[in-house]
Amino acid sequence: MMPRTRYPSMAIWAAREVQRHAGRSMLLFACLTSLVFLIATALLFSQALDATWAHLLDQAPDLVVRRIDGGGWVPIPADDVVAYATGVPGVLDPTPRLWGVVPGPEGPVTVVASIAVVPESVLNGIKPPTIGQAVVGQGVARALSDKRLTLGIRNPLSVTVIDVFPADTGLATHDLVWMTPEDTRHLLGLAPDQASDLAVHLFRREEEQAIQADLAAAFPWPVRITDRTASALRHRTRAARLGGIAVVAGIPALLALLMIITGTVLDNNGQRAHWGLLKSLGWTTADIVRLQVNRALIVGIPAVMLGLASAYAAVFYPPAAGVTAFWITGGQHLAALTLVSSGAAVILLEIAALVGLPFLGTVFLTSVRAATGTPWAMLQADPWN
Amino acid sequence: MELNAGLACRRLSFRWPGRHTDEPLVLESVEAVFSTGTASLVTGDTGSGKSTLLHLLAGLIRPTAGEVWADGLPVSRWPSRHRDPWRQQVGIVFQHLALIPDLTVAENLLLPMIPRQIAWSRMQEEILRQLADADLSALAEAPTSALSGGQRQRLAIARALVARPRFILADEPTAFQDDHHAAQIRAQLCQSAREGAVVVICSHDPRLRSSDEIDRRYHLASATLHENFAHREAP
Repeated sequence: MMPRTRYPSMAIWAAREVQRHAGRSMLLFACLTSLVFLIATALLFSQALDATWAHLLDQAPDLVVRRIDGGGWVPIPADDVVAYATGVPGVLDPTPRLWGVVPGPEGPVTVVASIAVVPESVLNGIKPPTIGQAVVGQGVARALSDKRLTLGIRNPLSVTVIDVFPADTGLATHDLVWMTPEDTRHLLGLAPDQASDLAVHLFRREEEQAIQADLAAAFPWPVRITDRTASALRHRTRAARLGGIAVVAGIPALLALLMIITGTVLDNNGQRAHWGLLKSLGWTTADIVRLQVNRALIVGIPAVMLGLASAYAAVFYPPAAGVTAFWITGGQHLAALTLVSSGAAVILLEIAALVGLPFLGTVFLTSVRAATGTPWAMLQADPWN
Repeated sequence: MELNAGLACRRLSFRWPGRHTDEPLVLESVEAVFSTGTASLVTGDTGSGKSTLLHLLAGLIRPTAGEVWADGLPVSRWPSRHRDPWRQQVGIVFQHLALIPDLTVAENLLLPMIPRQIAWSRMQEEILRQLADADLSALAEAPTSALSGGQRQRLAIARALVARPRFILADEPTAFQDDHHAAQIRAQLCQSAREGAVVVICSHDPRLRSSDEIDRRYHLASATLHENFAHREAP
């Protein structure tokens, strides 16, 4: 009995065919790689942005209470609001926060005085400022020519920058200025017992919707309460918007896909005579299709791997990541993004669905169509006739 | 008519597709049996339909009427999905050779072996044997485009024989050969017949017509095939 070694022979011959048509194979490889790169970059960026925001939001308070009146936001009396909120069942650790937006050297900056505004992980290891000092984000630091920072117009204040928040916290700290409560109050024009808003943690996080009515009723003036879900929704909307940009970026990708499909079709029609010869030598339609699928896999798998690796580098490798963020967001400065492993698996599946399956499907269907027929009719297209 | 062994044509007719029905048939009610273990020679004028007959026997085209039987099976009636694998039992030498010029000599010989579930080691053995039989051993790695006409023809014959097919169909296999190589090819084909293959050769070549090694002779004229029993040519 003959050994059954059809598959390795076919795979080896497919590799020879790839080498035989090196130019077409390289074109196909380049098209597939760029297509995967474009789509994977957009998907990875959107997914990583979402994951990074979710990570940061996880450390944020469950609810934020702001006092409002007919003119908009007004400061709150710090001691009183803590007393009001503590009386509401389920509320833990109400913390008045001191922060605001003031004009900076190159546009508005966010001034904070308490760590309650910023996740603790962001402030980890950074020495707190004293009066006349500040810690600033990367965006603010870039605008400085020396260590002095002047903020505000109505109550201007000049401070010394003693540290800069790390680049990988940029999503939360890009335009941030951390200074003492005294300096912050001076800059924002607040009295010593006033705060900007109240951060509230809950005993049960899932009660964030239910508890809002009780909490609002506990204050003697109107308040606006923002919960974590609303914040997450905002950020997810942003990620989705960036995903929309990714779709726009996908237009050249679709053109590339069109090129691949067209190239494959032309390639197969051009090889019709060759396949007619193979059939006259004993190859079946299934053998020819198997050969073409093997060829497609030999070119396609490394192309997809390279495209994914390039996309990963473009999103997460610092020098390239800045360019990618600039390309996708139109110039916004973003933090170093993080990828969750489940997210990576989803991206792989998405790429397989978006690129791999249509490509293999096209190869399969076109090959079946072109290889089905009488060998004699197929041979008529050949140069030897 | 004996249909159970070898290749048989039963009332085989053929007209090129798309031609008017009032145009003459290329082949009309051809009846023939090419038996196992015999080498048969089909002669005829240019354009008499010899190549078409070989293509019909090889299952490359379908007859307009009638049937081709192979070892008792009506292969010309079969759908492509059954005829394609059956064609692995056929080794065909085209008149135009149909070699792939950018492949090497050895790679051209590899082509029929790939779908036949043969181990690499045996493929190599068969290829080396055929290269030696065709006097092409020294050219195994040469591109086919670098070969002379005669060498290409011997390569086409080697490709037809390399997988040891049951049915060997050769169209003008000695056309470009000197006497030595023509005799060598004739011996190769007849040896295949002695080993149990069905060999059908279409040729004008008088060196084949006069050979004693050919078992049966047919002449194709006016779309019909007649067996020629007076096979010895006059000196």
